[in-house]
Order: sequence, then C-alpha cells, then structure tokens
Amino acid sequence: MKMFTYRKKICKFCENKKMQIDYKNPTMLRRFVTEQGKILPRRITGTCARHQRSLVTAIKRARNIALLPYHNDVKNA
Amino acid sequence: MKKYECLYIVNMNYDSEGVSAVTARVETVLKNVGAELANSQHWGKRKLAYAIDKERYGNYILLHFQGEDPNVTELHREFEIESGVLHYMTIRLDEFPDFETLSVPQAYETDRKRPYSQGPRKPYRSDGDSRTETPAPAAPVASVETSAPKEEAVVEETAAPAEVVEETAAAVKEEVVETAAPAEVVEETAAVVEEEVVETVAPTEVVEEEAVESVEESAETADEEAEKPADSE
Repeated sequence: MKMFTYRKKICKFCENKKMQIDYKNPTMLRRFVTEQGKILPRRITGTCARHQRSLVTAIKRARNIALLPYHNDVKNA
Repeated sequence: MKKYECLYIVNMNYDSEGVSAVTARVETVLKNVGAELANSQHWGKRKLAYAIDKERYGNYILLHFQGEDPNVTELHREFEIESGVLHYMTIRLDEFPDFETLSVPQAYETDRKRPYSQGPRKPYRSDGDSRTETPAPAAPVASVETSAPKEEAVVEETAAPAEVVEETAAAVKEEVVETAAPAEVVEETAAVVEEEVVETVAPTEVVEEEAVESVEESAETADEEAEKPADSE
C-alpha cells in the first residue's frame, strides 16, 4: 500500500491561507468526503494533522445540521 | 459574555409569515434573557441532506449573539417548544466572523444528480460546452437558404467539387434562389441531393418520354392559351 502514497502532497489549508475550514461551507467540505459521504483519510487528501482534526469536526457538525449527509446511496452501474 | 453561533432550521410548510413569526419569537426570547443579538442571516429554502421529521426542505437561519450559558439553555428550550423548528445547533466561538463577508452556501443538490455514466467531474470551462456548438449536418432546404454558416459547414462535409468550395455563402444563396433545381445546385447539399434524387433520378426512361410528351402538350396548351387571350382581345 505504501507505493501508492509516495507522492508528496501539500496540505491545501497550509498552502492557501484563505481556505478556511467552516462547517457552513458544504461545497468545500465535500472535497474531503467520498461519494458515499465517508470522510477521506489524510493519506489520500494530503492534509496535515492539525487541519485534518478541524476538518473532521467541521464535517461532523455539518452532518449534524443536515448540510452534509451521514450516508449517501450511490447507485453504481 | 461569550460568543455563540446558532444555526436552526424552520419548517418549510410554514408560509413566509409563519417563518418570520418564529424568528421574531426566538429573538424576543434572546432579548428577554439578556443576550445581545449581533447578527442574523436568513439562508432561505434549502434541501436538507437527509429528511428531518419527514421534511426534505427547510429554512435555515443563522444567529450570532453574545451571552452566557443559561441563555443558551433558554434558547434551546424555546426551540424545543416551538413546533416550527426542526433542528438546531449552537456553537461557542472565540471571535465573531466578519458579518459582511458571510455568504450563503450553495445548495447541495446541484451536483448530486450527476449520472454515473457521465464520468468524473471536469473543471468548469468558460469557453463553452462542446456539445452545444456542433451544427446539424442534415439541414432541410429552407434552412440552407437562410443560414449562411450552416451552408458552409454542410458544403465542407459533403464531398463537394471544386466549384462548390469556391462559391461563397452569398453566391450559393443567389444561385439557390434563382435556379429551382439544376443539377449543380443539387450536388451542393446532401439533404437537397437526397430530395432531388428521389424526384428526378429515380424515374425510368418511360417517365422521361412522358415528360417530353407532357412538355409538348404543355407547349401546345400554352400556345392555345396564348391564342385565346389574343382572340378575346
């Protein structure tokens, strides 16, 4: 599995200070969530640990207030 | 005085007066308790990510206020009593955000209906969509006469002789208008070719003879008709 993660990724929030983690912004949060609604791990998105923690709390808050789903029904062909 | 942010959802079945009545009651509760309301923003109707109390749409309202913990408890009590409020969430903040730059988030369902067969999302291209730019190749005769760029496209598509390629759109228009069905004009457009071929080429020699006969007959009749008005005059 390690061969798939050799490419160095930069945390999007460290690189761009204007991107703020806000639970009220579902369009930005959806980039860090799968089609099924599951939270993507850090090794896939490349976010640093600090931002991943605040991102996860933001996603959970957005789920609580129905801005993001807990579970998405994805119909595959 | 601690800073709080509260986002709550009001039932859509309440008409606009009902929603504003609910928000007014909520704000009066805050005032009675002694909290300072700093900002309130209505997001309007949004589709919920999941159904709450069998409702799929809701009015989102955002509040920012300063107060103490008992104020928040009172506010939540009011939300529980109020039948119009479907859901609520209150957060403690360190600093209020800039109220002027607060924007209503985009609706969630815009991307959700993307069919699987369309493939992965591509970045937005402002130069237009390729699906809408290609003109229809099989153009009917009427449109061929009127639309100039389509004629050029159609001309290029069919295996046109050198004559046709040299002709410009205006020249083609004039020729088409002046001459009804000569063979040269027919060859220019595929659709016109099909139509004309059906009309003229399909008939056999017998019909040609009949056509000749009919021409003669028509000539005779034309002479007769020419004589008649002459006689009458």
